[in-house]
Amino acid sequence: MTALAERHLLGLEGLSREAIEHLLDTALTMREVLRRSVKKVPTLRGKAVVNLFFESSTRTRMSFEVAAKVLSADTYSISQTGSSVTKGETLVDTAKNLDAMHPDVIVIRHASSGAAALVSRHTRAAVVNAGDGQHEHPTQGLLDALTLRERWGALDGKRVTIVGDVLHSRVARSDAFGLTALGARVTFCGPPTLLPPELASLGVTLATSLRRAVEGADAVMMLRVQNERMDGQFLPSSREYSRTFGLGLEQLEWLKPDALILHPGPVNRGVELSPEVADGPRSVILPQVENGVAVRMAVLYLVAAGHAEEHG
Amino acid sequence: MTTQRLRGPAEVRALVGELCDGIHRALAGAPDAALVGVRRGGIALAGRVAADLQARGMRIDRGAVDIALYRDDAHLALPRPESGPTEIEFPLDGRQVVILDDVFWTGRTARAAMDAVLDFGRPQRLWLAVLAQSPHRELPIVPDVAPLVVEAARGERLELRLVEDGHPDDELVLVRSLR
Amino acid sequence: MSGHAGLFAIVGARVIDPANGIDGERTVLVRDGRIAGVESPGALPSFDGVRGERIERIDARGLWLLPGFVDLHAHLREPGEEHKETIATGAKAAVAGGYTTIVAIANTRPPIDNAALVRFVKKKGEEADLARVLPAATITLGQKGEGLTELVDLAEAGAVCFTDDGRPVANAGVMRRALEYSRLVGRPIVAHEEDLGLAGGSMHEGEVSVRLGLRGVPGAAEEVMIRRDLVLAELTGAHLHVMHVSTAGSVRAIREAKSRGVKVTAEATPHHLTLTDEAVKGYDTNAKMMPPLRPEADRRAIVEALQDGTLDAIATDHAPHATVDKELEFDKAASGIVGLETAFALTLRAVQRGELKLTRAIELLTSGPARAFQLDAGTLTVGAPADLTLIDPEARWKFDAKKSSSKSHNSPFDGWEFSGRVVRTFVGGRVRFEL
Repeated sequence: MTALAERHLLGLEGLSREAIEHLLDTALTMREVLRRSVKKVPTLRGKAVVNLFFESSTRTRMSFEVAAKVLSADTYSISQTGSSVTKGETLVDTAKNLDAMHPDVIVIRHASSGAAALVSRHTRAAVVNAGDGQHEHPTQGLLDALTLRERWGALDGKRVTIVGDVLHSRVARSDAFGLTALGARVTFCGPPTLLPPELASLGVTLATSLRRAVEGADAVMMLRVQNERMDGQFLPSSREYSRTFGLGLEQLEWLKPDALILHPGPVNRGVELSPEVADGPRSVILPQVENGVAVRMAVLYLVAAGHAEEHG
Repeated sequence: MTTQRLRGPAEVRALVGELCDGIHRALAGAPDAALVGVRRGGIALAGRVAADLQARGMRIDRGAVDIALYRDDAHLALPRPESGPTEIEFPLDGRQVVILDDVFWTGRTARAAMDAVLDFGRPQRLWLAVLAQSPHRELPIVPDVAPLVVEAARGERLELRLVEDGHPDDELVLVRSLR
Repeated sequence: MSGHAGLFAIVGARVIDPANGIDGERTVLVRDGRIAGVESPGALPSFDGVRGERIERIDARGLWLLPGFVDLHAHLREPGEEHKETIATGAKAAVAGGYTTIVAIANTRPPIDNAALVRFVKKKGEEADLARVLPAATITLGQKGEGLTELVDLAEAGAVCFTDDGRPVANAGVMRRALEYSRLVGRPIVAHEEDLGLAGGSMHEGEVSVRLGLRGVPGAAEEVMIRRDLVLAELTGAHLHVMHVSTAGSVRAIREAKSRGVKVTAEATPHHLTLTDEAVKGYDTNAKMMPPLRPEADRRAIVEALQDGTLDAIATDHAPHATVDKELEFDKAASGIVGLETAFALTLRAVQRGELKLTRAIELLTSGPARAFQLDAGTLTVGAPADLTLIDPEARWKFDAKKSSSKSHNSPFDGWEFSGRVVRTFVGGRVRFEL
């Protein structure tokens, strides 16, 4: 039965539809807990969850922390500053040393693709990838799937367009794997410098015209574009990017009237999304945040212990 | 795995009647009580009991509690949450609240259900009612209402099957797992 | 184990000596460290008239006897990174892999850019007294890609080629002058071909890299530099040797240049012959090398080019790295793998898979590389050094990187099972490795 074939959650690639649906169903149970006035259940009492964040991330880290605390786990946070990471300890050393303290779950955010997989090979704890470089951000993919499934009932045949720096986006990858597993058709849209043709091998359609990519879409996910990409290397300027790939009120006219707008946050207001659109009625950015906590609770719950059915 | 029918449809109906009588007696005088079914076995049963009590003129709120997140065996293994979340969309403070499950076995589910319900408020009196119980208690908890006592061995369990849950007939069965 | 008193014959083996067109049972006579005869079975007398002594016989029935292998491309890390490898440990790994001659690449710390350092490498090799260690020297001072080294002085000290390997010579003008000037010494300019503007990734740019979220290096990074240097080789008439060719486009460019008579030779590694970028899945840093592992179409082009002569040699690019350099995030890990002890097995594997013909495969390990660098090695010609490798073609074995002779164990082939194994290696008629 188990949702996760392995005890870690390193990515959504390869997860079955059944496994993803089960994660989302579990997240709904968790969201009910989150909405109570007493936001605490004893489920993970006595479990230790370590948040190992090598990249600054207020919201993902907070979201994991809330999730762990609502489930009564003990949480420990290690961030780049003030840890031995800055003293030149390798990631493998960090993993081995943490392991010796018997954590049950290690949540890791790291700038290098594959970092979560590397840590998982050097610890007995379950490892949850909270974003590794440009590889995957599975809980983001799950929360996006949950947000959309809730609005639509099912994702089958729905068209989701992801716009922006898909080449460097772990969100785009996890969304592509997660949403297509649930039956959605995903389009990646961006300038050719950020849209290599090999991306089509992820099972998505590629488009360089924003208008064509969003016309007929049921949901549009606008990615944040890092400033470092807009220094003339990949993109001439943020001004030109915004003009060509930004979503404002004018571009909104191209969308179906009931199309949803998503964003993994934090929003670069005025670059990829105009404030009117970000705060508009089609935006589901805040529900995404709530679902983020619920999904992370579900993930922690499912990785934190063995497989129930085996124990009867 | 073998199953043995202990009670047929008519007997189950009679037992539910006794259960309702017991709850009705317990709640005597309470102006508005609440009934919380334990997922999953207590949900359909709570529907019948609530209808019966309402037919007797009682005002009664009905909810559901999922105890997966309150189990005490998380260090061993966690169960997958049952098919629905906890739904208690009414206040519990100061009220008479009945936790209803189909079967009382070790008491661990009842313990978890009590913890879960108490996270939603502070009832004036909390009751525990089941259709059947078997004396394998592992905790010092006894149901307030339990019309049937079944002698069962370890490795056996009771299952209440109701038509509301898709079963062809109402029945109470003893399930014996083969070792 | 080196008890043969300078006079012995190896009998009963299948002798494969591509340079002399030999493939069949022969008796090979060794006298005073050199090949003294390659005779038909039974033709050898039991007494040697020259030395007036009885000839000791080594029974090699069931084995193959090959010229000792020649590696144009081994990083021995000494001086400077002796924790990864030394000239002695590298030379030990070499003979364990059937190699009797290896070229020590010059990107040490400091780089081999003056005659004293060349002599140091040579001397360390002689002291180790295992495989013959031939020093390479850098093209530019400090391997900085600017001023040329003293090529004449370096060649006189023993440098067999010039290379800035590890880095390309980015400036086309510098490369042109290096090629021109190298004609004075008649030794090849050996090029690591990588356009730095297109490089910077940690694996091949393609379907696997976009899936793993790793920055890729397109094949074009190699191809544009190869094409530049082929043009410069043609302009200057000098000998260009291209290292670790990895793409179909590079092969096409070299094939075309060779057909027009450009003086170019080229090599490919055993790993580019064997693996594809699929090996990177799971972020195994032992699948990280530069140039990176490429997709299957490129691998097939390499196989074809090795078979048809577009590529002249299989060269290991033996690149030892300590665990601390490899057990890292993929983008931070060092590039390269050890190769001396698996090169033959991987080459033979390609034969067993029907991708290479056996005699061609042996040529690619022996006379092919020797010819490319004009080395007196890689053949069983009478008078040549008695550098020999005995192979048990039936032996099944599993490569255990931890037990290798190299100081480092960074191999993606750890645990691979092979059939066909080096059982004895002779250098100058003396047994320097025996299983």
